[in-house]
Amino acid sequence: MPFSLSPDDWQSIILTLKLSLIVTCLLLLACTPLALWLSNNKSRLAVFVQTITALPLVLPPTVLGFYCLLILSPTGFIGQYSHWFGLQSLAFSFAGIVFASCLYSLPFVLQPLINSFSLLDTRAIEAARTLQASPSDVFFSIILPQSKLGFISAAILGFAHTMGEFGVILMVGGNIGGETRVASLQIYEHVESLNFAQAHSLSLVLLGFSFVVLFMVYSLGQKQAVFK
Amino acid sequence: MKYISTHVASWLNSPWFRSTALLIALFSYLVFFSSNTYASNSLRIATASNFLPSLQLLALQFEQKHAIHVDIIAGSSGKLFTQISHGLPVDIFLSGDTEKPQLLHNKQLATSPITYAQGALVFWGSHATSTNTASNAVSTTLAQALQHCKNMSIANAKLAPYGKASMQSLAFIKEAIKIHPSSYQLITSENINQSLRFKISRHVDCTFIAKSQAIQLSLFKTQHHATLINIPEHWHTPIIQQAVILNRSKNKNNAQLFMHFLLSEKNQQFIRSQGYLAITPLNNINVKGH
Repeated sequence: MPFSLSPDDWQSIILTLKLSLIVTCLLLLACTPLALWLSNNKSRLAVFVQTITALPLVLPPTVLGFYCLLILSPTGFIGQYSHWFGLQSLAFSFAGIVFASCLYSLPFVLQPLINSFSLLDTRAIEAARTLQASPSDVFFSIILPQSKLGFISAAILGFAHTMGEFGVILMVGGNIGGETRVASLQIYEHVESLNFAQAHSLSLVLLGFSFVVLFMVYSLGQKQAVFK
Repeated sequence: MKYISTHVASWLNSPWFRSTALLIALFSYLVFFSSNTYASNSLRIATASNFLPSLQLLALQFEQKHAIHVDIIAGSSGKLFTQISHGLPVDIFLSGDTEKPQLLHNKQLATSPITYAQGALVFWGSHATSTNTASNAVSTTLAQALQHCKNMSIANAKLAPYGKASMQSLAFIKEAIKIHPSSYQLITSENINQSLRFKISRHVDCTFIAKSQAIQLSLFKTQHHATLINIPEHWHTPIIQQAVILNRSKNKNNAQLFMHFLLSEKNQQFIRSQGYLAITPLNNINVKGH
């Protein structure tokens, strides 16, 4: 089997990495406070919010993508407001697939963080508070070091899940070369146009790369666990 | 103050910080140095998957001739239709059927539809059969082939025009030779590409595929040629594929140039050589559109 990757294939790989990194960073930033709140709160509202955040797991990706498209279209719920702020329509743009991917990968980042925060040693936090440590000091000195593994697994799951995303992006992104055509869409297009050799090559690169990234992060996690 | 500086120093030295810094560096590199080239003199075409291989070859020629960059988006006609209705930025839509271009035209989103290709159907079985082009003989041959068929995949007739034509052809042959429906298992696929993949991976014995696929994979030139049966045109309603130029297109001149290029005799001949039938240019008068 001849191994060949076209410039378009490379472009799609770069785009996938860019998307996955941006989505993982955004989700880690957004989910940390949310997970802290959810893990400390036993109210009905917290349960309700947690249920809502798990819902992206239920809908099939293409269906989720279809609803994202409806929301983002110029007459849609979000689309009409983005026009007010002078922004272009989010649908069929890179920003649009970032939005949809954040929604799609949300449970995969949020859940490990909630789990790890609920295992925190509350005595240490209370002791620090008694010693008048500021909330940010408590977070950076106690919560963050204690939940490193939680952050690592949240990042891994968010990153990997976005790398392999297909249905949502196909629907919201519109498969535009260089802007929304990520590697999974490029592979699909190769398969659809019966270029099986190229599809195999690209899949191999995607798998190989993901393996290296995941292996690196897992070995980092292993080290952390050993030195603990 | 001292406390803060030691705190920051220990933070800077931690592996946690280093990995975060690496991530941020990579992140900003990707954000700021990603290549996004969308030339001003360009044309974006959405096409039904079955026409993608032919379009790719045509687009290359067009790019060389007119120095206009062609950007192709492929997908199922139904999905593309939904996306175009919600603002997918394309100039031309090459649909796999007649319905969706007409709907876009009715919604005043596009010019009136123009026929650019007509699909042909091929049966791909598991046993070699004698090839004879006469229509009567075809039904006998196909009936023989169907006897060997244990499972068959057919594209969803509701979604795929080729699937609908396949079902009609099966109904036609059952009517023509009065055979009892054989005991094969029918597997519904999403589209003919999936049917083809089922057949290539030997999950089904037989299937209906597009002639353009058979030609693209050079099936007629391999040992498979004896298992292929060309389905006569009149066994099913014609698989007409129509195109429209979107009204919101900012490259209307380029789009019209491409439509003329696509409908030129030379390129129609090329499209026929790719496994499509000759089209009757009866509704192709108003290429200029609105």
